[in-house]
Amino acid sequence: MSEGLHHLVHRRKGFLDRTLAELAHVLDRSFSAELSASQGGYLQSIDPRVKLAATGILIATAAASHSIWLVLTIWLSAVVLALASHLKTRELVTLWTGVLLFSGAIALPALFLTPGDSLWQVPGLHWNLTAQGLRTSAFLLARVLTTSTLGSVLVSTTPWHQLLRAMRTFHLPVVAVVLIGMTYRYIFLFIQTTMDMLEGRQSRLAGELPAKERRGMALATLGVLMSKAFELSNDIHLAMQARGYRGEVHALDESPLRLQDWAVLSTLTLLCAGAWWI
Amino acid sequence: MNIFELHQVSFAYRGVVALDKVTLNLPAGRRVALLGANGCGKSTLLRILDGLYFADSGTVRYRGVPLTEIDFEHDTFAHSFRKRVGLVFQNPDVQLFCPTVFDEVAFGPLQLGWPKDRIKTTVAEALEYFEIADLRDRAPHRLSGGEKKRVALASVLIMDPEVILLDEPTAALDPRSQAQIVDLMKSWESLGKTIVTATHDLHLLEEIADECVVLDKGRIAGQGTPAEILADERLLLGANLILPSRLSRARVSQALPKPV
Repeated sequence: MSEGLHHLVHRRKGFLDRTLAELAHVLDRSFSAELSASQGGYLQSIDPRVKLAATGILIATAAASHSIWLVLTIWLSAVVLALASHLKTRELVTLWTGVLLFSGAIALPALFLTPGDSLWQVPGLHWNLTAQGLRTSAFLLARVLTTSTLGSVLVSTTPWHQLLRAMRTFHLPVVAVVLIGMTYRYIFLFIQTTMDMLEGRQSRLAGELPAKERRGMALATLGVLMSKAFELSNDIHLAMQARGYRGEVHALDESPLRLQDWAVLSTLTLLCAGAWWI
Repeated sequence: MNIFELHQVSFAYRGVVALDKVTLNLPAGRRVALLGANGCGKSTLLRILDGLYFADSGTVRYRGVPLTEIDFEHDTFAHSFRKRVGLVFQNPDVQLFCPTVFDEVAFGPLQLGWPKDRIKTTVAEALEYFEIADLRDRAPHRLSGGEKKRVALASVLIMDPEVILLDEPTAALDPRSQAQIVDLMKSWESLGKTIVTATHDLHLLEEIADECVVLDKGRIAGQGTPAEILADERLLLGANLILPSRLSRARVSQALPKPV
């Protein structure tokens, strides 16, 4: 965490400070993700198209498999690949904690609500923990853990623009890819604009504002941002027109996949198909 | 020969007049500076010259041909005009909308239907020329102000336009980046291009322009060489481009509230 962000998180309080800290946190996370994607590591050296396809195949396998051991093997492989790609263990643990908390909230009732053979009864409540419920919950948690880890490893080892290019290879319409790219790019501009606006306000405040004024200020900030967004979108459209845009976006073709890329993809597909068969 | 001819051009944004009966000829191959304070109509004029806005009244001619909205509905005309006339926006964040610097510079040629191999070669050359080859795969939002400006220039100059319209090219840049941009602009002088620069940087005037047009409240307040314009204190005062230092200090100190 940068010194400035640390300062924001630990010293300031109140609506403005919390919003500023959260915005700074988003920028900080995005910067570390871009940094890890551009570092040297095993997955960073693989063609983004192969990574995207492989992630898709592995997620489909984990989602469709009836063997929890296969799902856990995929998760373990993702962890090994993440470590070989120099991803931070702390970030993976943070991801898993969030995932387990949210999906755990869904999985927990399933332990008792799924009908089946009773394994244990909660003393005093007469709730039966069933074998089927345990299996369902275990599958849910393992699948969510695996798919989120795979997704996180993919985006942490692939620069955003390469991921977008890879999407184009799989016949996602160019216009959709361009829109996603532009949205991602301008989110940062708006985060920066919001931070500037809030810091400008912060610098002229002494003490904490009453709740009513804080709400008013939040609404005013939203209004200004909306108006800026509208103005900016008009100007961007003009800038696109000025360089020849006529309502249809054109993009450069990608170079074909190398032999080793095809080999990796084919092997993975065969392995997953074999695992399903078993 | 005039590359642009404007006759009695007026334009208003929702009732607010931006240009008021502007008549102006821009000769081919000249470097023209549009001078004026903020909100005087410089950016609007550039957008009208680039066929992005169309005059409410009056006529705009490019090489003798009137520019109308209907003309831009035809691909052939629009492509030909966009290739010949390039506009660099004041705010580079408006102009840099692609995920990487390479994509940004390649955007224009791709839309104009250049062959893919030519695009790759020309983009590489443009990145070298503007000294941004090392930024090739960087996201535009991670660049400094000077870098963004050079990418914005490269993204327009790659199409080799005969007319370059620049909106405040040195605004909000540090002195080093400002000097780099001015050096680039001076290097285009020998290429015979028509360069129209909107600015209020009077100290750069003699380096970047052969002729000046002073705008004030949407009207042309004066025209002349940089030396003539800079010598006309009354004109510059009237257009809010300068403020007499003694007078300004006295006014500012009067206007400020007394410290508590």
